This record gives sequence, C-alpha cells and structure tokens, in this order.
Amino acid sequence: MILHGIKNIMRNTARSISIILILSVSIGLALIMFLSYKAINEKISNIKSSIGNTITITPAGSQGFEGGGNPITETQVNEIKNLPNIVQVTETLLATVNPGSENNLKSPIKAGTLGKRFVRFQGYNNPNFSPSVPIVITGISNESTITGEGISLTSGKLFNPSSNSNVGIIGTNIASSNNLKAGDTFKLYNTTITVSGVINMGTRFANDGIYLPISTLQNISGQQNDISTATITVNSITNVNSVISQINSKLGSNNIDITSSQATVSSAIAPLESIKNVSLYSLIGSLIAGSVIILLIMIMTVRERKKEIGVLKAIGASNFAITMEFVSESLTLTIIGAILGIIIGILLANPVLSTLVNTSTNTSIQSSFQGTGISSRGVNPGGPIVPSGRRGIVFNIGRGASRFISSITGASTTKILSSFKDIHTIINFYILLYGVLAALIITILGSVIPVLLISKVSPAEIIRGE
Amino acid sequence: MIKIDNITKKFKSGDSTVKALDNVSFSINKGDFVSIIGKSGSGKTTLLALMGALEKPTEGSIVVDGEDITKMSDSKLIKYRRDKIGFIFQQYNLIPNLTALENVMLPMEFAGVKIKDRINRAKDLLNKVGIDSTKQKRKPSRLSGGEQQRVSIARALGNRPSLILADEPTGNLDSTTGKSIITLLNKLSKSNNTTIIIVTHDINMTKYTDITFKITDGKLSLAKSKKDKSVLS
Repeated sequence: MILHGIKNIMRNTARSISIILILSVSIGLALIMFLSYKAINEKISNIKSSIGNTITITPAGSQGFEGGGNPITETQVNEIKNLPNIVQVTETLLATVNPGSENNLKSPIKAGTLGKRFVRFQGYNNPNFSPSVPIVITGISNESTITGEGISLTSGKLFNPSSNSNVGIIGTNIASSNNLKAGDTFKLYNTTITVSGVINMGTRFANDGIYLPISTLQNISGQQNDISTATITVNSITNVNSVISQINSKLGSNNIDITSSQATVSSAIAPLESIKNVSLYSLIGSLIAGSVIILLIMIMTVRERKKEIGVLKAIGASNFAITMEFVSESLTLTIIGAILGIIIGILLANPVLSTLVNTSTNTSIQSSFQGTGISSRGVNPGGPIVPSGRRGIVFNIGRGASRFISSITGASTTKILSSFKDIHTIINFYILLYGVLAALIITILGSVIPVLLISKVSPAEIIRGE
Repeated sequence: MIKIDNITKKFKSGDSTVKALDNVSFSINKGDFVSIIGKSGSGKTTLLALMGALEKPTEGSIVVDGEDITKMSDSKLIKYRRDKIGFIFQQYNLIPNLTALENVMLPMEFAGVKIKDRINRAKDLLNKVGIDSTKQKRKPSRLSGGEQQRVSIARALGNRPSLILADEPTGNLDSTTGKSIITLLNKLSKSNNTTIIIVTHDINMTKYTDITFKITDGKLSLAKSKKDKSVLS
C-alpha cells in the first residue's frame, strides 16, 4: 500500500507540484527560523557569559585615589570567593609614586594644562608651578588584567601574577622615557625590580604605568592585605543581581561600593531576545502552516476518493492499510518538500538571519546605549564612575586627586555591536535531520483528522452512489 | 452454504423509516448460480450489501459457511470480505491509477500473498477472463467497458472466494458484451464450484442462472429453480 500511496502522487501532477512547492517554502522557513533561533540563543548565552557579567567592588566612599574610608582586604575577598555562580575574582591594588622619590624613574608625561588644573584643585594656586606627574603602579592578581584585545607584549614575557618576586611589566612610554627594556632593573620603594616585559596597553595613559604582582606591590609599598578593586566574573549576566545581593550581605553594603554594567548590557541584548522570540513564533507558525496544507490536501483527497476507499474496504483492505496509503502519499510529498526546503534553508538561513538581526538591532542598540550614557560616564568628573578591574587606569596628582577613567564599558558596547554583526547559523549534517523532523511533524499533525475520516468511510459507500 | 433468516433492514429517510428489506429468508448451496431480480428501489442492492457485509441488517441473521456474519467484529468482517467474498460492480470500480494487473493483485496484497505469487495468479486470472498480456499493463481508462468488467471479475476471484456478489454486472454494457460477461460468470461458477449471486433488473439474465429470486418492495419470492435445490423458508 505504501507504493500505491507514492504512485498516487502522479495522479494529479500539477496539484502535487504545487503542494511540494508550498511545503518546501514552509519547511525552508521553519528550518531558517529554527537555525536562527539556535544561533541567536547561542549568541545570547555567549554574550551573557562574556560581557556585562562582571561586578566591581571598591571600598565604600573611595574610587581610585579619590574619596576616603578604608581599603578592602584580602580577608574580605576570601569570604566571597566561594559564593555560587562566581567564576573568577581578580584583585588589583593601586599605588602612585612621585618620580625620583624612593625610585630612579622619570615620569613619561608632562603635567600640561590638565595636570596643572588638577593641582590647582588641590590648593596649588601658583600658575607657574609645573608639577611632575606621579607614576601609577598597579598590582595585579591575574593575567587577564594585562592581556586581551588591544593589548600586546612588545618584548619580554609576562610574570606569574600570583608570585611575590620583584618583577614587573612596564608600559611602552615609561620604558622609552627611562631607557628600560626586558631584563633591566629599576628602583621602586627602594627595592630593585627586574623588568620582565614591556607592554602596549593600547592607551597613552596605561602605557605610562607599571604593573607588578599584587603581593609584591603589597609588600614593597607597605599595603599588606589591601586591595583597591576586586573584579568578580559571574557565570551569566542573569546571575549578576543575586551575586551582588549575596556580596552585600556578606561584606555589608556600608563597607563596599558595588558597580556592574549588567543593566546596560541586558538592555543591549534585548533586541536580540525579541528576534529570538520572533524566530520561535515563525518556526511554530511555519510548521502549523505546513500541517494545515497537508491537512486540507488530505481531507480533499479523502473526500475525492471516498468511493475508492469504499471499494478498497469492500475488497478487503483494512483501515490501517488504507491509512498507510494516504499517509505515505502525504509523507512523500512532504519529504520532497523537505529536500527542497533544506536547500532553501541552507541557502537563505544566513542572509535571513543577518537581515533580521541588523534591521531590528541597529536603531534599538543605539538608543539603548544613549539612554544609559555609558560612554560619557567614565570621563564625567563627579558623576558615577564605572570602573574596570581589567584595565583600571588612574591619574594621580599630588596627594591623591585622581580621575578614574574606564574603558571597559565602552569596549563592551563595541563588542556587543560587533558580535551582532558576526552572528551566523551553523549549517551541518544535522540540518538534514531537522528537515526530516519538520516533515514528520507536519505529516503527523496534518494526518490525524484525515485518518479519522478514512476510518469513517463506510464500504457501503460504493452501492449508495449507484 | 448461505442461510438467510428473517432479515429486515430499515433506513431512516427524513422523519420516516423505510423498510428496504422485510423479513427475507432463503438459503442456497455451494456452487449455485443465483439471480435476484427486481426494479430499482426494490431492495435488491441492499440485500447484496448485507450478504457482502458492507452493512448490517436491522434484524435477522446471515450464516455463511456456518458463521453468522451479523455478529462478527469489524476486524473479522474485513477478513470475511477479503477471503470469502468477491465483488463485481456495475461501475467496475477499478482503481484508476493502477494497471489491470495491479488491480487484480490488490485483494491478494491485502491478504498478504507474496508478490511473485500475486503476479502469477493475477496474470493467470486475467488470461482466463480473456485479458491478454498487453491489455494487462493498461490502466482502466484505456480498456473498454467489457474489458474493465472482465478485469473486475478477475479481481473478485483473486483470493478464491466462496461467494461472488455481482451488482448489475452487465448494467453498463451492450447486450452482446453483457451476454459474454454472464456466460463467463456461468462458466466460472461451474468450473470452480463457486457460488455466484447476481442482482439485476434485466429479466434476460435469469435464463443463465440456476435459481432466480424476485424482490418486490423488500419482499423476496422464488421465481424459478432449475435445480430445485433452494428452499424459501
């Protein structure tokens, strides 16, 4: 009977061809939407686990070298290290030294108008006074602070950040102004430090700095147990809020300031979430459309062949055998449709996905970033500062006036935008399985009612018409 | 072989109930060639449908080879129709997209006969009813009415039924072709000892059959019996 069913397709070729075409469009669309859904979903979870999932802890009332209060301590950080959902804790310690004091270093930058202005804020009102700019030293607990996009080691090698040996990485500017290269030594806090490497951090400001293992800096600067910032990486952006509240309850919200860019990144990926939903609805919609086509065609065919069904029953066919004939007929149509649909899916999945993503995210991303004003935050004096553990950069004049400029949130903006652009579907062998799966779902959904109709046809049908 | 006992069949027609068959009883033996004649609407086709288990009677019993088909389950009825009955229709009712040969093979396919045996038997039967090998490969639309009816006779014989039910088998044929069809049926009845019941309004058919019943307004009466084997109970 299965063969008869397949042969039946030839009974009305024009109709069969149009059914196959409609089905192939519906299956192709289902496939495109399924692949888009998967790709977008993956992208979202990627973004969620890589951007905006960091929490920065600073001492309450203090930021960089501004404000007051007490530093946070290793002991405090150890208390929160093992909270659930935390992937990594990166600690940094900041210190500044005036060139020539307990060291043999020259500052790579002149004070300029900004430097003088900062000094004026501190009470130095002599306009002719030209201060030398202090050198910023950052103690790091993790390589991630001095590695990543836009950062490159120009010579030498990285040190082991968890060691307490007297080694350091120096920015390219300070290296050239002091004629230092890998293997040379310099004095800091009257301690001899060996240059392990020279690094290009990507910004002038960061290239003016020195980077040491955090334990080394704690030891030589007399800041044992102190930490300036702890940056906590959470496994997903969705868990950021719960981790924040747990940290607050452990350490007490009066002792620490916590910042995160979670809300901003969440609103940035919101358009992606809505495309994900659109593709899911389209997937379901196209499967339903395909099923309805098969349903209507089968009902039509059953009605048309009512007498034939009666004859088959009269000459001894079981309901099952007749059902098999009809189901194999529609299954064949659907499978041919699926093959064409798979081809359509493979050809169009990526273009459709990128059109979907680009047209619906461009405007909304821009407005969402403008709304939160990320890029202006970091440079806005007195405004809320979004600090970064990865590339926290401090400018310091005199006794601690500083401007903490963050680049991380700006970087995450471009990262999200560019990751939207390079979103693409994965086309592999499984696409065949998904196509066949779509065909099966369509056939099964579309066959239920016609099968009931078949079983209701009475064999006496054949004598009634005569 | 077939014993029909007090069969009544009622149909609902709008608000009123129509009695298509009214207390019909008769019995026939294996190998009998029987005709049932009656005008259209007399209930003759209904009687045929009941014997072929296409419908169930309102009252009464139909015993074929010792089994009461009115009490059979649906799945048993499928087997009954497949193995015991061969149908021949006025409209031939061949499956249009299958060849003559494939049409004849169909009931054997339902019975689970192996494909090789199906082909051989179908060819054999078609040769017997006078459809040559060229015409066996044709679809029904490319066969004449008489040829189609021959194919349908061959199809009815596929599973070696004990009873062949023919509904106006010559109704759509000219008199010469009709005559040859009825002769063929007669020959089959004799050579295979198969019981054949023909339902017709054509009085001429009765001269070929052993027994003739007449049906008027749902009531059955014996019109003629060559063998005098049959009994109206």
